[in-house]
Amino acid sequence: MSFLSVRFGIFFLILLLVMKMTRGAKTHQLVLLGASYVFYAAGDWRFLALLAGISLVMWKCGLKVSQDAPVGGKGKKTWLILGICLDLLVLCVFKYAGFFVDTFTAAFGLPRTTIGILLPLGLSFYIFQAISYLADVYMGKMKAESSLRKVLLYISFFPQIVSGPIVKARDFFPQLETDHEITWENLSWGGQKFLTGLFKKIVIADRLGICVDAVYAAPAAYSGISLLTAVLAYALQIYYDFSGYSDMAIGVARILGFDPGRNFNLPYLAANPSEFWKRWHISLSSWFRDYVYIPLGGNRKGEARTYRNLFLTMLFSGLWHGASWSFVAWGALHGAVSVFSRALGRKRKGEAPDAAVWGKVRHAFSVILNFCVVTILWIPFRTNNFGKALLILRRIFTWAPGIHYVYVYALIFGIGLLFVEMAAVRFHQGNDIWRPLDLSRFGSRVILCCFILLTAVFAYIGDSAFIYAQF
Amino acid sequence: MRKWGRQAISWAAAVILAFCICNAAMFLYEVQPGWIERENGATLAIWDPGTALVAGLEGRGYYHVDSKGYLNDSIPTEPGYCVVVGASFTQGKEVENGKRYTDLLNAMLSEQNGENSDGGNDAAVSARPSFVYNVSQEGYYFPDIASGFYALTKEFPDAGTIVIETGKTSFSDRELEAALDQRAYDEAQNGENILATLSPAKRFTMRVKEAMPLLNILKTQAETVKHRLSEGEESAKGEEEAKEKDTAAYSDRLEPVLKMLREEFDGTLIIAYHPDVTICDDGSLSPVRYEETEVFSRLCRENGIIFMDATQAILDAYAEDYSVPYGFMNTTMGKGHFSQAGHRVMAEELYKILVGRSGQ
Repeated sequence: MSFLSVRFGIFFLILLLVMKMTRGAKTHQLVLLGASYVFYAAGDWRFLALLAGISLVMWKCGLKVSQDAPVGGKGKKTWLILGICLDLLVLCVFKYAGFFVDTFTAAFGLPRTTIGILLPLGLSFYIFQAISYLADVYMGKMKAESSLRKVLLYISFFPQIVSGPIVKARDFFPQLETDHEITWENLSWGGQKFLTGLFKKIVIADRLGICVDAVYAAPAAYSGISLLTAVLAYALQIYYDFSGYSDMAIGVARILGFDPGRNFNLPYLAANPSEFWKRWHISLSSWFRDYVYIPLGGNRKGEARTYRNLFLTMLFSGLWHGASWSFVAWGALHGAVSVFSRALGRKRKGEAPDAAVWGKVRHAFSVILNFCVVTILWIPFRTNNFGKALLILRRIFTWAPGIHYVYVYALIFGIGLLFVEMAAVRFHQGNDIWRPLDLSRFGSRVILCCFILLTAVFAYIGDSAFIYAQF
Repeated sequence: MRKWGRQAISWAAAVILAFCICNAAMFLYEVQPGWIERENGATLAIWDPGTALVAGLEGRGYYHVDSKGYLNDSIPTEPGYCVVVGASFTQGKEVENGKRYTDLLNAMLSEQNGENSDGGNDAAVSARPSFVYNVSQEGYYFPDIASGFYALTKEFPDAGTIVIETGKTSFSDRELEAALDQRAYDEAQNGENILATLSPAKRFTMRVKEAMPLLNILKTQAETVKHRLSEGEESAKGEEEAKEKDTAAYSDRLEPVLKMLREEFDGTLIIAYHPDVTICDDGSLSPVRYEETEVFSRLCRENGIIFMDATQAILDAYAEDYSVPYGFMNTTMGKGHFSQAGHRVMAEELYKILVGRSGQ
């Protein structure tokens, strides 16, 4: 069930009514659990048992790995490894089996065999939440949950199950303890956040997709400047599409009284790769940091190991994004860039600080350079084909002749983002400037109504599949 | 209760004010004149005469509706003019005024006629149309054009040349049968005359819609949603119809229509065809070919109708400077209506025929 469907609208209204008519944290948990399973079933009922099964196993494993568990130290670790291995096995079977088979057959020159396994809806996201629960309990960051109901709800919570944000267990479970009354404040905040996300998705991202799809389908036909515009358009599209979806999910969760946390913080303002990953898909990068990078040793075992851990973490992140060598390569390239940037940063550590103006110029240059690197790395991410990616880069850098197509909306939305970023730097230390309007004021009501009307006018009515829903 | 009442009034006022603000902004983006349907005219509908059209959804253009309800800067005065009739491709509101193929043709012809007016071949000059008049309506395709052909010749009795624009050469049996059913001509439904036949309520509704471009746009959005939801069913139906057709049977259905057109009009009759194109992976431009095009072309020749196929000219233009006949910088290339390049190709091809016919 997409957030952009009438069905979801009806579903959510009914849910709000039921939440309003009921009282008590436990009752609300049951209502939300029921709603989450209905939501999931509407998307694909065939994998409901898998979702429930994973949740049940995690709940059981959680009780075994808890600090208070009667099982001894090594036993806890065994349960932890068993639980995580089960999660990863499920992920590998459904998401990567085809990829592994293709790689194996290609490597050994065997006849090509196609394995058709359906990918369960939201698998990549809820498996990571399941691992988060187990790991947080094992590390003592939270107590194991004795209530199966809460674990079921955490893993299946519908606002975030399809495409995130990935909320860590230690951040989510404390929120379950309160009575989730539907308040005007949450309705206003969450509703406006949802509308912002909707605007980002159907007005900006989907409209940029027109240019991106056309040019990436036949890059050999387009001129260098047209390809450059399309490459920039994709950098904007993927940002607005995914941050738009995140905003909608956050808005829905907030209406229900939950705070999943921020998932994007103007990532193109980052001055280096490390900062970029603290601003882009924050929930995923922090997941990888807490459950992959730090357990590998983080930066605690010397520089060489730090670089290795950084590289591996980015490699796995690439693999998570898609079951193909293009995504692995994308992750590896980001890893290489991150390592290089870190090494460069360490080299500069001993240098004297820059004078104020020169420091600002240097910082601006770093932001632009980082944006260029990230944008270039989006090319293989989008094409999922090395040959095509190289073709695009070659035609851009040789300023090849071809169809002239400088998409107007890429320029408009690009300039728009630039103004937002400048305002963020000027007024908010480079952080996201979004704030809900105070709807008690007449002026704010007019602005909100204008915003809704303009969203309806400029919405691109086309294929609205969310980019990240494929992961 | 009073508090809720005040809140409701405040929100209602906010909605109204927001609507007014956004509606005002839409005058810069997309404005449609009033749409007046008619039963007995050259076209099935005309725009409200004297109003303006602003196009921003696809391309960008600004036009004034003339007294006949079409988009032209002036009305033909001298006999022997050329009428170009077609759908939205001919209407050309996506390009700026002066860049449509009918406007370009006008400029080319007046330049040519001006060059030859002193010391040139008077017979050739007088045989050449002096003015090109654009008669177009959105969604006005060949079968409807054919069924309105009698009315067209009555509305423009002094036309020396008629050009029928079409992007398709394949029509269903139902469409071709309906094409033979000629619409009557009623002068009372011509241009400004039609306004007198509208009821006060209809006229008021039309004026209100003209003053509210925001409503039109929202209506278009809603229709697009509906269309997208029903797209799957329609394409399945279309494929079924295409499978059933064979060229011999198609020829038998099409010929009476073309014969009828030829019999209805003594002057130069041209069918200007422009194919759909695809931008291929290897960077080439490929026209979409249909078997019916060959049938259409042959039957035109056999019935004394000039069949202008712009395919080669489109490919030549692409080979020269990668210009694509359809698409805009605010939509996508290769799809949609004629780009400036597309209009230029059509004008050049028609010009060759019109000048050639006059013995130049």
